[in-house]
Amino acid sequence: MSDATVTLQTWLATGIVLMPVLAGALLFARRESNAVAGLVGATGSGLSLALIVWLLLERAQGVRVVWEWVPELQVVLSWRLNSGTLAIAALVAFVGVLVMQFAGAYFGPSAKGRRAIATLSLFEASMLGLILADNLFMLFTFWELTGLCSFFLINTDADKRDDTFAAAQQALVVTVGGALPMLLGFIYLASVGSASLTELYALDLPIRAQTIAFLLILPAVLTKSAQIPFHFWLPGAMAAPTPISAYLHSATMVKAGLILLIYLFPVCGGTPLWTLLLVPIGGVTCIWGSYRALGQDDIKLLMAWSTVSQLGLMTLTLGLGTDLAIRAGILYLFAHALFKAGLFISVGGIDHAAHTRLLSKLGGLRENTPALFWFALILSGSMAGLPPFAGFLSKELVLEKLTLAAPLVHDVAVIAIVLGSIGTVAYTSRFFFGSFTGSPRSEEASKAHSPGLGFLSAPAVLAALSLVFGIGAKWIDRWFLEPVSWSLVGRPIEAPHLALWHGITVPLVLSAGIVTFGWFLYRRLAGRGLPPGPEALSGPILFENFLSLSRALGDRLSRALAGASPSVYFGLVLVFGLMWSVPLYGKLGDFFTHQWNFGGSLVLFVQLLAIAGLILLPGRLTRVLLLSVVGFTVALLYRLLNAPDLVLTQLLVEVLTAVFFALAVRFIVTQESPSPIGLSSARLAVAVPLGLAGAALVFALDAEPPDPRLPDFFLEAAPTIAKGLNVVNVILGDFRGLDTLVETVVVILAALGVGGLLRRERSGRETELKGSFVVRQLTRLILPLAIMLALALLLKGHDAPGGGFVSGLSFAVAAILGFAAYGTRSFRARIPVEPDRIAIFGALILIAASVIPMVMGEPMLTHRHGTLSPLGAFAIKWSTTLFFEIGVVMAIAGGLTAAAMRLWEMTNTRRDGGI
Amino acid sequence: MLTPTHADLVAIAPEIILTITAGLLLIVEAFLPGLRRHFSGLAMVGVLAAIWARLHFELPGAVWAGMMQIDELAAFVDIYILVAVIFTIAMAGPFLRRTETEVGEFYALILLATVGAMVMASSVNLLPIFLGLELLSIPLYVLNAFLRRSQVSVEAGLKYFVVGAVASAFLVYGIALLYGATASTDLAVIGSQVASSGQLNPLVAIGLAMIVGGLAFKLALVPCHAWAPDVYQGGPTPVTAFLAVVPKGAALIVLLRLADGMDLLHISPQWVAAAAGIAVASQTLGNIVAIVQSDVKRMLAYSGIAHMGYAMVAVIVAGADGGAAVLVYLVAYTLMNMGAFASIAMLSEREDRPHFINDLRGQGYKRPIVALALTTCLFSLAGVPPFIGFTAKFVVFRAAVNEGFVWLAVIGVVNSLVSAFYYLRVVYAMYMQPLPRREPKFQFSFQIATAAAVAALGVLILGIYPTPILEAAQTAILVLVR
Amino acid sequence: MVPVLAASVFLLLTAGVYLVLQKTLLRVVIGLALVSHAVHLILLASGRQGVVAPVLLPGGGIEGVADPLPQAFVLTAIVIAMAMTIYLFAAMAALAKSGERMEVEPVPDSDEAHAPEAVQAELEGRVTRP
Repeated sequence: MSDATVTLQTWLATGIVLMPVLAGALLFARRESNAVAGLVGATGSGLSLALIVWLLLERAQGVRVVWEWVPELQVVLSWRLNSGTLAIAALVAFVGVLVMQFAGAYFGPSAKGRRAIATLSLFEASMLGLILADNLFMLFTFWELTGLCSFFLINTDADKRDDTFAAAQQALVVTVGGALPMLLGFIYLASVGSASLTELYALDLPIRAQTIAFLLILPAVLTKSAQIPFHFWLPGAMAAPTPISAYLHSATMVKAGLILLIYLFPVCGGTPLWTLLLVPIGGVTCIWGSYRALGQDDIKLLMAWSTVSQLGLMTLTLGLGTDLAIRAGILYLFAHALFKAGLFISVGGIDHAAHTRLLSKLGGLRENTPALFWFALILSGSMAGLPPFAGFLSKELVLEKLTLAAPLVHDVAVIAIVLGSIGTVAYTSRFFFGSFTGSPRSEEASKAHSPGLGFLSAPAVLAALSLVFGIGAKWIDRWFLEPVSWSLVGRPIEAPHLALWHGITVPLVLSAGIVTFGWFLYRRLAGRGLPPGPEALSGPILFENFLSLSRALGDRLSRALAGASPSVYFGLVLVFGLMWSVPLYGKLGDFFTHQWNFGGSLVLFVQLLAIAGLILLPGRLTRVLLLSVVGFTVALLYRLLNAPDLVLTQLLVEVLTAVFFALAVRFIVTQESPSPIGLSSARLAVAVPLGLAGAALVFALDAEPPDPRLPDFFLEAAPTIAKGLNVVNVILGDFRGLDTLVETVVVILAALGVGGLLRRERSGRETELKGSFVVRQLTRLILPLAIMLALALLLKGHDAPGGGFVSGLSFAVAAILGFAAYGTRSFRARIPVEPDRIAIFGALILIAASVIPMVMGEPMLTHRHGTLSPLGAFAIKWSTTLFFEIGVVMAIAGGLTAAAMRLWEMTNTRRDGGI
Repeated sequence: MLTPTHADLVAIAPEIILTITAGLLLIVEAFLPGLRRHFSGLAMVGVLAAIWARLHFELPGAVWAGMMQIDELAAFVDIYILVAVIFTIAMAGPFLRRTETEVGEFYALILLATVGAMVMASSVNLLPIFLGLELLSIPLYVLNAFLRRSQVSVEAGLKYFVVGAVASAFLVYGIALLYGATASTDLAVIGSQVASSGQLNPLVAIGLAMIVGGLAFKLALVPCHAWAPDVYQGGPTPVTAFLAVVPKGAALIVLLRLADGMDLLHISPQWVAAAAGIAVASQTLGNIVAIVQSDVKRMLAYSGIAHMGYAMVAVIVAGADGGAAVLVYLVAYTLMNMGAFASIAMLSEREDRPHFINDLRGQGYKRPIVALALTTCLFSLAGVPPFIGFTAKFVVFRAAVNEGFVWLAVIGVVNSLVSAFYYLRVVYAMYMQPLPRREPKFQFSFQIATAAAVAALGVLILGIYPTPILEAAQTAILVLVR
Repeated sequence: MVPVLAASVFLLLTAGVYLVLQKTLLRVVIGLALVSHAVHLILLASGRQGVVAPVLLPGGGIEGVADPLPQAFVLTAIVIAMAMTIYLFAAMAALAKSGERMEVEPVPDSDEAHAPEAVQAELEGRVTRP
């Protein structure tokens, strides 16, 4: 085959899908009358059909890649062309032509028609794509698109009926949701084999893989093809206008599941679960659908349930899992599409003619609508499986296959099919005779008029085809069934030829029995309804239960978990963390083997007292004071751990925290009860084991031989490189300058936050609080000392404990002391710049110290070193790190002071009228 | 390499630019408050410059004495974060004007939080990761309380704060334990030590659990999720959008680095069990509880919990597939959420009121563009093709199935199904229900509408043609799993 | 020193967790402070404790010098903890000033306004929200 042919065929195949899209787009864009819209839609489908026929005539075969869409995910837009896929596509496009034309007539002058037909065209395109796609992921995408389109289509009448949205949502969730596991199945197939159907056919997957893939894909089949227990959405979807039901819910969309089964048969038909699951499910669906159809009054619902039943029959047939069964399934699929679409459209005609669809009001339509009567007769005959129509041929073939299946499966299948078919005969009779014969049971029915040509042409064509299909069995077999089923199964199938008359055979006897019993059943029931049966089977109960269960669960969870106080879920998290530390509890024995250090024990004792007091003593302020005491004991522990920097920082932090608390205390303690916190066993049950785990961890960490490389690296590098002896500071200032920068920013942020929170409108007379005379005198003494200390810490920091942080903290303490004593107004008057601006300048210096060396072509935070000795004896080692440190000091001191002032002003000034 | 080099500086040029912009904003706010109207523009320029810097300069790899790793992965995450910030700023301008809180601090805080997230995501050492986390969190504590007139907002800030403090404690605790066990804070060193020992010793296990716990708070994964609905509901919407996206991205990257470095998938069944438990619990709880919400922001909070559960599946799988899936998921999650929050920011009457789904009734025809954007994003969140949310789930489930976690993928799929209910409810209210009698007064803002529309377009276009994102993610993740 | 450290961690962590599990905010804050003390001590325990402070580096070797890295890290952590506590105090003050209760109870998910009946009523236009 030449390249040009391949390219041509690629474009032709793409055109098949594109034509309806164009029609849909055109209709969305232009306001046309419904009749024109129907014509446009039908033309789109017709063009598709023409292209399909063209490709069929060319005997196109193989994969045509259009576009490597998402190669990373193996998503490729490609078409799988063979007589099988093309024939199914032809069926869809052909019914499409008829339905679009019918829809144009059906919608009359209604404003919704154009949009519905446009969406219907898009749906058709998705359906054609689904059928022709070779890539599994494209198949999935088209599959979901059909579901989405159906959602909008069912919603067409949402403004007229209340239950429409619920029905549409149900259909969407069930079919689109059911397809999600299929995606996993496809992903799985792609990972063990290939994402291309054609390539998968060439592989022979192990049974395990086949089973997993089948189980993942099965929900999609069952939901889309409305098998029990997912069947309920289909009768619900009858809320849609008739053309839509005729197309989606009889001929095409509901067949997608079966088409997928046919496609997948060569891939995972080998798993025993194929038969074990599909046959019973299909059987139950077949019987139950028949039973329910028998009890319906609304003929459209009757058709819906009958569709459920026949879908079950087809699932069962395909489930038999032999080449011959697949062949029979394919034939039934075509036959069913023809008669069911015709019947649905006839129902639309009846509705249009008699303005009712209820059997209790219909009757005697033959008089006024003779044409419809004849078409419906042929179509009903086909559905009931009477010779010489298509339905008979296909049912015969199905029954024939049963003789070839395993014994047990055979029994189950025969019983199901026979029962289902008896029902079919009965409800078909009920529909047909109830509508057309007897006398009219309502005024509307008696005044029925014959529907126009738009309503009649589609049933006419479909009825004719059903007839031709049956009579021309021999040619159908040769020119249609054989090539189609061979190419779909991927190998030739040895099968007896189709014929209307095989002589007296078991299937024929069964058929005769079915018709007889069916007729008998119809006569016995004679128009009486049937009880709807167990709820679990009859309605969307499963779906609703699922939904309401989810709701109830969500409500409960939402109250129980989200509504709980954080203490509950903190507890939960902590218990979760606790589980991990269980293996460490053994370490606790080390308490008795290690030497206790005397000073440490003393500190510990104080800490114990403070914590006990914190929990057991009354008083809100006591708590905060004792917290400070605990902080001091921790500082002492730092001292014992040889971390003098931490001691200083910790002490200053404790002081500052206490100061801030004191500033905000009036507001903070209002809700806190002064009575002791006391002990509660539930909380202790979480807290004590966690505390023990912490202690055990300390021992475990001690036992771990530390890898000395990293610390030694720092220790060795510090004196030589940065010329400083205080390793911690050197690390902070030089190695981890960036970290310091970040920390400083953090403090500025907190200060900003305080400022932002307490931003206030300046209004009213403000009275200011300041310290007493004694306090002011004391401050006068302490303040210079505090500032000196801060300066010393800053300057000596590079060698001795200190540095920017602590220095900044000391400055902040000094400043807070200052404004507490003198009042903020006079404090402001005495300092040159507002504290928050000092903070900003500090931040700027920090940035500059980092960026300027860069501008000068040197690394950031480059530092120069030297010794400055203004008095000879008192040598200060200087380093450009100093600038950096000054920046830190300014930022921290400024930020904290500004924050403290805000708090102070908020708590200590009143507006007129007071708080 | 003890003192920072030129390369070190160039490597963090975006961070420096953002910091300087933040500083500038503060200075202008302090000295020229009259320029407030131009703040969002200035902030935007800063972010764009940062993006430019990240794209323009060469990616040097290990910098700052090996503490940061500026490579394709860092670039991917940085740009993803910066794009999220652009959306946040675009939303913030009109929002702040409406609530009369437009001050320089807001943008400065957002930018600094961004720097924190970027530092966190590109660090390969626990210390800068911790610093980055703090730098990210503290501005958010403040920002959440930004509508100081609204008690709900201040309360939201407080809640986020308390939870954040606990998370920080977890993280530091975990870092201490890992350091004790391995004498290193370098992820690569820790990773190779753990991976080569072939198992988690108890110290490492607890340390890891603590770190994961700390990050789980940021990610709002079950059981550390309970803050999310309150904080989402109470915080200013632009901040909520930021909060829903940026910290989660940074935290996920850290998790991914940990999981990959230690090869947890192969050495620790406990990790797999625990992480899978967290993922399943988050998905299930998030989705089921979201069904009963009547406030859109609360609903999105629960949906966020569920989405992080999906992302967690990808983290468990790790490796090239899982890593790329995490990145793709992040991009998708960002776009969808930004679009949704931008739409909601507009479809609300007053910020401190609940954003009832019922208030959206009939808006589909009243405000077609915003409603369409919101619908697109919601469909995408539900994982419907052809939107990017579907692609993201596809990639995650694909990674899971390929690694043999079919069951995790099945649970994820069932959960996505549940999620369709509540997303559809909003769509239903907008399109199928009539406008309420007392029509809510929504203030239309062209800027926010544009942000929503752009996000929705992104959701659609990248959903249809995801190759650029997939390729970028695969290149980026190669750095990690080389 | 190790048993002292362990005992102290036990005390601080137990009391801290106990308080974090309380309802009022102040107690939670105090609890968090205690927990962070405990965490800092564990951090120090994770390095070698040594007998000499790294500050006073002896001229010769580095035998027995305490591990500087955890110390530097704890320093950072202390400062951050302080910054957060200060902010928290301010936030509590701001909240208290506006008369809010200071419990850390979240808003329940389905309170009155969210209850189905209320939503339903609103749907039917019978009630307009205050």
